[in-house]
Amino acid sequence: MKYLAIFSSGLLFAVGLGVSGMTLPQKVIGFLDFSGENWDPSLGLVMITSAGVYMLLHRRVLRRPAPLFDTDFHVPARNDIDRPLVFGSMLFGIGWGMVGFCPGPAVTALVSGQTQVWIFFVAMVAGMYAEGTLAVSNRMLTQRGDAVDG
Amino acid sequence: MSHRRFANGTNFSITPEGARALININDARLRLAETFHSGTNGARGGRAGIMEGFTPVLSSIGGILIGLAALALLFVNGRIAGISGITAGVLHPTQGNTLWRVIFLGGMVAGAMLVRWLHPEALAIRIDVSNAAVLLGGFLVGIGTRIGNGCTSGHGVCGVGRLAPRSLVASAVFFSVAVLTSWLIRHVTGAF
Repeated sequence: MKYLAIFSSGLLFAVGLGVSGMTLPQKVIGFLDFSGENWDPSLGLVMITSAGVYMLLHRRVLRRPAPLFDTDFHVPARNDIDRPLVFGSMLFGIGWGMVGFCPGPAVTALVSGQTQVWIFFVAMVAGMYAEGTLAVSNRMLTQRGDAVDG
Repeated sequence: MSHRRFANGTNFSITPEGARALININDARLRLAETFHSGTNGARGGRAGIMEGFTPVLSSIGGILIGLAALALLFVNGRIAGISGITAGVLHPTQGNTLWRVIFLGGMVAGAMLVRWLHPEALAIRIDVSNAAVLLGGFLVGIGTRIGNGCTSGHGVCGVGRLAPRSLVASAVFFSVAVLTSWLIRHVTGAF
């Protein structure tokens, strides 16, 4: 039951991405590229509606004593703005602005079977793996916290 | 029941109700395709006219579905629906914290197959940079989302939805850097 529900969440997430048009890098770039000939506000609208729905309803979920199939909510509690947050987001922004893919759409687009999508995905996983490996060794030296925002 | 013989000699028969249902389905599909068509072509198609690729209806519906899916994951097992974090967690598995990630990603692949079946326009992907740039971009997205602890879903949707200060900062940074990068490589240097 638990895993069926998690599976369904993932399914709905991917369907949402597909319907919204965000699996298309050309639409993402069409938003990011303000100076292009045709500016496409779609991505902005996707962000507003998705974050809006989450904003409206997440408190109602968090008010429950616990999630359906866990003892606690795993919502990040950190509020400090540190250098890794800003630096990492800059690197992410560069990659996103270059290609037009972020992780969710890249995973969803894999079924297209297009070579470039797979190149992107493999490189992305390699980047994640590289950071994970670095972080593990770093943590041993600095005891860096590993709270995850998302 | 109406019978018809096609030019190639095959026979075809259908009841009136069946015909109406088929026509309705086809109309809906055409409308969907029309709404979307401009979206797949727009943006950088080189045609004049602002907001040509804009797909307000589908993008709003899709956005709402994304928000609901993220809420569902929070409701079911109390997790933030951050795709970069979920994916990275599979690469460095820890006891009792990996299976749900694999299942979620499996659900995404199943959802993607559903999209490919019912709405294939959403996978008419065009990437306007070289394979080398795709490789570099992918690596930067992977390492950057891990160093910054989140991507468009974890920070952008869930974090901004919770008005979490870290996510608001991260989203402002990656959006503005993405706009700047896109402008630099598409209008200034043309390097890729």
